[in-house]
Amino acid sequence: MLIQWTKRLGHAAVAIAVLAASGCASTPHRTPAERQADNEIAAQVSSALRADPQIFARHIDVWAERGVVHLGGYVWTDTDLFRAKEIAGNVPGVARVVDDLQLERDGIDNSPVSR
Amino acid sequence: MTIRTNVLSVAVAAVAGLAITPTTSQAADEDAQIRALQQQIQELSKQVDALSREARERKEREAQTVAGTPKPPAATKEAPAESKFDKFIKGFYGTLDVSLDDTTKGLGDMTAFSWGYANPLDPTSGIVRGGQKGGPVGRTGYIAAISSNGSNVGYRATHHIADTNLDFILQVSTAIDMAAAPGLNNTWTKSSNTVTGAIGLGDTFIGFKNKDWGTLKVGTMYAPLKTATDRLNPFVGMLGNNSVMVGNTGGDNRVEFGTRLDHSIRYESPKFGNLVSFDLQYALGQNVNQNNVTIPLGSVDCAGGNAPGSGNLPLNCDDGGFGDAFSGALKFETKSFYVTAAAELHKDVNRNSDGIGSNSLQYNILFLQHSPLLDWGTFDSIVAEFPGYAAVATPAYLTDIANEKDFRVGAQYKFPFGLTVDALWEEMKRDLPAELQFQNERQRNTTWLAFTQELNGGTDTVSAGWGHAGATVGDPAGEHNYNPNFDGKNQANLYTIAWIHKLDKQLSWYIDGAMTVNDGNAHFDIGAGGHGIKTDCHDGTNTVITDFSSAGPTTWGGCRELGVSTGVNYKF
Repeated sequence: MLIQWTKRLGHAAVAIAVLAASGCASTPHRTPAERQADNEIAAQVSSALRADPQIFARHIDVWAERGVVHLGGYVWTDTDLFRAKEIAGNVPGVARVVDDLQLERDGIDNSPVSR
Repeated sequence: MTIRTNVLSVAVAAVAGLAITPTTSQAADEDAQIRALQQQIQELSKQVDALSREARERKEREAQTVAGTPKPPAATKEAPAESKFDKFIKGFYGTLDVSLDDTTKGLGDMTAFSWGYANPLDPTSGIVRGGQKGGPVGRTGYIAAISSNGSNVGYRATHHIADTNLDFILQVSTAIDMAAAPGLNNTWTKSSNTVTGAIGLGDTFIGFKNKDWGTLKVGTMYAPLKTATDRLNPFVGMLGNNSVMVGNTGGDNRVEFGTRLDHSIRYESPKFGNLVSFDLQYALGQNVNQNNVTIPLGSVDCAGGNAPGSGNLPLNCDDGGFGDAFSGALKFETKSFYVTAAAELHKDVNRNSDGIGSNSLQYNILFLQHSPLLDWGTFDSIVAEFPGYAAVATPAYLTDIANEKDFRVGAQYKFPFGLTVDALWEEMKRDLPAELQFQNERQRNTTWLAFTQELNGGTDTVSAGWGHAGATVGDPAGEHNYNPNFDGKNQANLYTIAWIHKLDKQLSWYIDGAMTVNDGNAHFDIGAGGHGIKTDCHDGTNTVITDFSSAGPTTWGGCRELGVSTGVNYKF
């Protein structure tokens, strides 16, 4: 069963990669007006994240493309993953939120006893 | 736009200035030059007019756009551009976490007996109990401790490569100990050449990133198996986090799957359709031996952790050293729902040391029959030099080398009223031949379930978790009190509760409690995978045998660890 699932996972990844390769047609360049509007939306989202009383948003990167807001960088908890998306989605003018946030998980990962 | 207009104005003025200072010697040429300059002025004036018109139209379009959308709040005006210094400072990040623990191993009243077959060479002859062995050694009650948990400092940066759509990315990180001096780990329970506090002990890499094609990283990094499922673990760094069982094949303190992989290459896809993404990672084995019994080239510890000899073993990487490793995860995510399937493969994992000190009755048959499955050559040579070794050890296996796999499916859902539910199922497998399955403790399932409720608008969170480790195929019988009547009785349950209170965005205070209930031959702990101080089933045995090893620490199957911990966590 494990092997079957592993193979399925691999096949799914390859299929997605092929779809990605075929679907990544270049989009036309944004006009200066669109760029300006995107910058302003990104700034609004950043401000909203910073203004939230709970989420530590210092390491969240925000950028926008034609009203679609992208969240990158990292937060520390899964509740902040949800919260960041929710806050960004509630900012006026945001068409959609694409979330690439990651969890910060550094530090010692292993344990001092071997057996 | 304004700058360009000003430049043109200056140019026009300059040209005009030149135009009104003719010389007197070449009247005809001057007329021609003046006409040419006048034409240039007219052309420049047209350009200025065009630029001004374009600027006016752009402002009108923006005004129309703003009029058609809700007015943003006053606080959301465009922020001033980030200075280079601010950007540099922002690259630093980290976590400082220190807790006060009070834990017990729950093994104080245990006893151990010798066991054997009525006919030592006949497994069907019945099991008989021999004499009583010694009890637990050392402090077996509650022990207070100050623990540094997942503390680290790092730096991340992105450098845009000019004239491309690529960013160069980098991260350096170090784990730090907040409660003791950094250094090598050379206790009687562990030897490691890894230095805490040194740059590189953490996810450290360089790579390239493109928003359409994804990210490629090279360095030492957590594997996708961990990063895809870690969000299902609300107790990271605390007592009783799910790494006590998840990815922990043998049930001891060391997590086997989902750790960082040295010298590895990782690809992270973009999120397709804002729903699906995947990560792949390949770690080069870099070992000069086919059985991975030595430290990989470029590393300071065995693959999988620990220096050769750790745990009072011979100076080999035969307690889990592996070769190549592959890890991948497929992730699907919507606004409130997340599901993932992830897998990891470790090639040719060397566990020959599982034979040393075995209490298994089946192992005893191999021993009495001088089986070729055991490494007699090494054992005899050690005994020849240190005769005392024969009294405390038995030969290692010779062919206990096999691929190990971990497969997980997990899901997370957040309800609108602040409740997050995490569920994870895991299957671990070790591909051993039939003659060694009797001691295969690396093949079992895990179930994990956790609930987290936000309170007071997110200021407080309360979490509860339950983990279950299923029975293994076999048992190497390394427990001092191994009881063959309990074969298959090596399941365990983990119970954890935690309350986290945010003092502000960066500082929080937490209190948690955990308990692991082990079956008679199981020895799971409550601290593996991130909590600084481990509480496990090992007692304080530390009888040094000159020139070779010490007889310890002794593992007590069936221990019931219990602990409470309170601490503060600061992130920056």
